[in-house]
Amino acid sequence: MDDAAEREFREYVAARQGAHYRTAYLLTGHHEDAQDLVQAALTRLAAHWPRVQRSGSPDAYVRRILYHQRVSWWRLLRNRREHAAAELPDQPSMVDPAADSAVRVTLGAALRQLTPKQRAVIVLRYYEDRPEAEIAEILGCSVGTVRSQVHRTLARLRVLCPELALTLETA
Amino acid sequence: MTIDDARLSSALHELADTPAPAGLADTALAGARRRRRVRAAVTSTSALAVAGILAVPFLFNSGATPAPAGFGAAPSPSPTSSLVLPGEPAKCQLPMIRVDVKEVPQDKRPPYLKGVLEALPPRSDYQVQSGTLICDFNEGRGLEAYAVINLGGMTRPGGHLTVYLNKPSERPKTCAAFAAKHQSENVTITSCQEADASNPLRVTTRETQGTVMAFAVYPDRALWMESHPAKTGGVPVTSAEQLMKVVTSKNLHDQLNQ
Repeated sequence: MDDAAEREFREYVAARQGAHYRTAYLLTGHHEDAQDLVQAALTRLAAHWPRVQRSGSPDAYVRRILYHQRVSWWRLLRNRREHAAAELPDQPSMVDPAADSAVRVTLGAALRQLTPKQRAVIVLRYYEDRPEAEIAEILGCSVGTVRSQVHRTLARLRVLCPELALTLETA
Repeated sequence: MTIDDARLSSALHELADTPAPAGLADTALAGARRRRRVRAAVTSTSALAVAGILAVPFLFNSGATPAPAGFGAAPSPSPTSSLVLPGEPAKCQLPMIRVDVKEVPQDKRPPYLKGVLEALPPRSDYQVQSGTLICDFNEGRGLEAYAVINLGGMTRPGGHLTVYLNKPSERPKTCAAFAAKHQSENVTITSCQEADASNPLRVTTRETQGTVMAFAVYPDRALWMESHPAKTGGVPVTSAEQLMKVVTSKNLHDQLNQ
């Protein structure tokens, strides 16, 4: 990689590392794993930067690595170890601080109990707001599989956190 | 999106609202460079393995008795110099103990690497994981070399060191030029001394994830070393000042000038 390409890579990372890290944090539920995941994705991006940059879609490249890496078998094995509850940021809510904070805490705990693929589907659908067809393409499965995964995962979330179920039903 | 979807989406966004750690680009670039080196090493090992397999029938047919080169054997030295070996990248790689053991045998360490190890603070657990001879493995970029030295073995309980040598044209030659090129929010220049008649440009830096570096830029070469902590954010065992003693050591330069 020449100096100009390296500079452009650094500029890209500076601009997009926050977004990628937030996605990775939702996917892993743990800061250290999120950092590992983003670092692995950015390292692969750096190795192929000139080609990916020419393709015009480095975000798509990183996203694909994040999700694939997360649901791959070795990640599954690695994440069988128990994690302490992640620290959650104290963010003021515009509407109901107590209720929103409770949902956030419960949701964080519930996400950690999902499988990596279930979590990936929820993050893609409800955090990144991706259409089902794009989710299917990213995860390498059919649209029907995505739909059934979303349905089953929402049902599981309602069981795992009654507070969220209440929110979903009454909102 | 239904209202339910919006509430779930909002909760996810709130949950994800966390700052990203620093130093991701630097670590990614270093990792990508490492991947390229590993790929080169694998290519080298594969080439040697293929050569070894192809050589077996000829050895049997000829009834030759000399020991075969074997997997991971050292490349033949150049007849003109024990240090310089121009040519294809595979020939520049130092051999491993075995294909599955990432360690350069002591008797295969080139003189420049011995100079580095002699100039480092005395330890009994330096392990040369991989490295190259001094050679032109980037086709026209000039003579280069690098090596990776672990502290305490393959698991690097004491972190690891890297050694680089290349043409000085790729490095700034003044403190101001160095700062303009390398200083960033992740890299702090901790000392810089300009070159003079008898000394090179000497710079030490520290990165946010803990890595310290020492650079020495001479008219005819640039030498620098990195000292990585065992864990991100930790303090490296070998300090930048100790690295500076290595990259400016007379003994090492005598080795390079052979």
